[in-house]
Amino acid sequence: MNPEHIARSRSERLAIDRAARWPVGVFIGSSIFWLLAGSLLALVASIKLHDPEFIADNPWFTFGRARSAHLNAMAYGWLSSAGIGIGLWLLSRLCRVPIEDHRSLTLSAVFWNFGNLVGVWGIMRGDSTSIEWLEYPAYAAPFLLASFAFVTLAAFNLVRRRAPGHIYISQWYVMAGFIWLPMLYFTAHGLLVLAPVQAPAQPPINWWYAHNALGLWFTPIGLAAAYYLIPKIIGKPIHSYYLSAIGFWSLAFFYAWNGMHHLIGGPFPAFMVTASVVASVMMFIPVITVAINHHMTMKGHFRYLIHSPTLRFVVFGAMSYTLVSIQGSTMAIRVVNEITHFTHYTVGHAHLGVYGFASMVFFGAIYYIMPRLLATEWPSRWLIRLHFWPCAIGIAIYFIGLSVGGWLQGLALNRTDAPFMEIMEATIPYLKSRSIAGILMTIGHLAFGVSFIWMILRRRAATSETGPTLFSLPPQSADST
Amino acid sequence: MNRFHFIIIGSVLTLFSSMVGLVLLPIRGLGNFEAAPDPETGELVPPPLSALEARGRDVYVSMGCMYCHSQQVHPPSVRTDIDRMWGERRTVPRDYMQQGVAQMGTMRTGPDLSNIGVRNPSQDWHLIHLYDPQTTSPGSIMPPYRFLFRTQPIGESGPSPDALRLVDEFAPPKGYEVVPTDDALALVAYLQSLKLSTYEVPEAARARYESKRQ
Amino acid sequence: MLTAAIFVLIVMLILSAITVIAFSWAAGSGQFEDPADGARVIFDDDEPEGEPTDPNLSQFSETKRK
Repeated sequence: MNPEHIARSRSERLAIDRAARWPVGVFIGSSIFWLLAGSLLALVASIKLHDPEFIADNPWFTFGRARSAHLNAMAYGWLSSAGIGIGLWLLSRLCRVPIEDHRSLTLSAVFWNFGNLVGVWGIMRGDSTSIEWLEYPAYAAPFLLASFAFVTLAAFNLVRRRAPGHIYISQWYVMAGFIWLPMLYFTAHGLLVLAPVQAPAQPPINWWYAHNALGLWFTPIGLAAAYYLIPKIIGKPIHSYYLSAIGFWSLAFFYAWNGMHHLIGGPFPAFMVTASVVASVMMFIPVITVAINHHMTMKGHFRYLIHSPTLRFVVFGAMSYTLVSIQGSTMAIRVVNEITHFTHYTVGHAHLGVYGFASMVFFGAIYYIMPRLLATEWPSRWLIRLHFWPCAIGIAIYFIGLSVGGWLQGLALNRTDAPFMEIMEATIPYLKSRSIAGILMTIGHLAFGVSFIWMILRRRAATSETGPTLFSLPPQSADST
Repeated sequence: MNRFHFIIIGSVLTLFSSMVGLVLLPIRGLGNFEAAPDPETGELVPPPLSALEARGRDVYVSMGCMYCHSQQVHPPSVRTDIDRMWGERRTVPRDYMQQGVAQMGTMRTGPDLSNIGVRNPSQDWHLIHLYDPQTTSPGSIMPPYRFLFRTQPIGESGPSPDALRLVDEFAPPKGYEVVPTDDALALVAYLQSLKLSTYEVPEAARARYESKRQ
Repeated sequence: MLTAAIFVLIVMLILSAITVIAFSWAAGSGQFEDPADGARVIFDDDEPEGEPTDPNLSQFSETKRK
């Protein structure tokens, strides 16, 4: 290996990471703030569901508002901020050009955070639109849209200047996600909030938006991160590039039609609901391609999970993706939906997706990216363990608790001899298990927050491989082996 | 793949294709309802909301009631809604045309409310239930909405006519009474207006037939 | 609803035709060439294939094992 080529690759990569430091770092830092805020709101909402006297006399925290504030803070504050940062970094790395739009991206981050602050405040104050996944009042949306316009422009700028050569799969996913989200939000916000269509037509549009926010925004960034980080960390390329292409296009085509599976049995034309059910089942195709690809890439390297926390987070997430997607396909089938619709089972499923998959992958990505941005190390191995284990155990308890509780709830709702109050009482132990899970997950998030702040404040330059740290840059001695 | 144009155009087109079925078609087929005459009484249905009821609907939206309560009745082939007296027929799209923001809901932590005005017609019941659900339904996990009420000293002319009849541990301290704010009265008026089974819509004959089919 | 269904069918046929044409062009113009090379672009001379980029995994490095 030619030492000149090695040095040139290294300096190119370091320049890219250096240029990404401020815009990507700011979005990631913001996302962690919202993760913590959203976790507190989550605990409030969860406790209220089995203990209604908890903070009962303050209308700002009433369940209907706390729950929506939590959802939006997590969806737009945590996941979307992290998604923007991670997506921009992936695009910059893979296009092999440094980010140039520092000013517009700084403005974008300010707008994004401001929009979320105003939105969460607005919900708690009582101005929620009461449209699922779009609860931010109309006055918050312009900030989000303006912010995202800058992000999409910055992405186009990277793509336009990209180094010649192959476009890697992660680039397809990130670019598509950066286009899909504004299209979705703009359309839904326009047709449901600004100039609302008549109410009977709103739910299909609502769930077209909400399900696509999951599948055409969070999922692409999560998959982009997994498709880059798994092979990059272990040093082995993705098993089948051809499968990736099939996975991308089948996701794009089928996912977009899933939305009506949230409305099975409701007052809608049968063919619309059926189209969504069919599309939901067809999702097997992209999901299986991703699962095969990741599994075959990891094959022979599973013992790496013992040693690499980043890999652990990302692979946990990738496996959750397969699980939650297969579960989702089954939930669209009528005999299953008859049991699970309207129950806590759906909430468990949703969190396996946004947390077990997206959040865990994003955690892994942030652990990989931050040291490379700051040229410094995570301060403590123990804090990372304190992040991973409570969160992994927490989401497992969450998912199992609400799935069992929700399933039983659904079965009982369908029995004519089960009084409603008894059905509700039977769910309480499972709702309590969810609060316990939430406490564990919040502990993990606090450890993460402490790690992040400590790392930024400490800013010790990466030196050798010794010490308690984990993600130091490959030592200078790579040249001297 | 080595051309971004391909990816970009393809992404836009796939999303547009889904908009045809899930956005444009709903607008065309479900977005243009007008009130129609009830086949039996001739009155326009669904009945419009009064100003008070419309304000109550805004309180319902502001409080996020939809996140625990659905407003959609499913046929017996799918669910036990009709057996639970949540309605006498399945809901049809026209039933929602009065809602500014559709409140169909996707959770049944609490019961469906499409017909709550028929199941619980009493204003008094709704007021004390909202004040504290434990009064009528001990063990309920529904939050109390005491902040929609005012605890005030009883005036010289005696208790106000609006005062809630609260007993035991729910009663205010001696010399005080609990009265509803305008928001509470509006919300209750809205809930009382949810009376799905009291009107027929032109599509109802078919919907009722579907409801009867097992 | 029949007119709606026919409308959807026609639009779907048009979109499917566009998809087929797009894929034919893509395959013809070499969009799907070099699948294996495409997977390798994430590596470079400084972080080559075979080298884990997480120092926790340095024990598995090919160069170190020599």
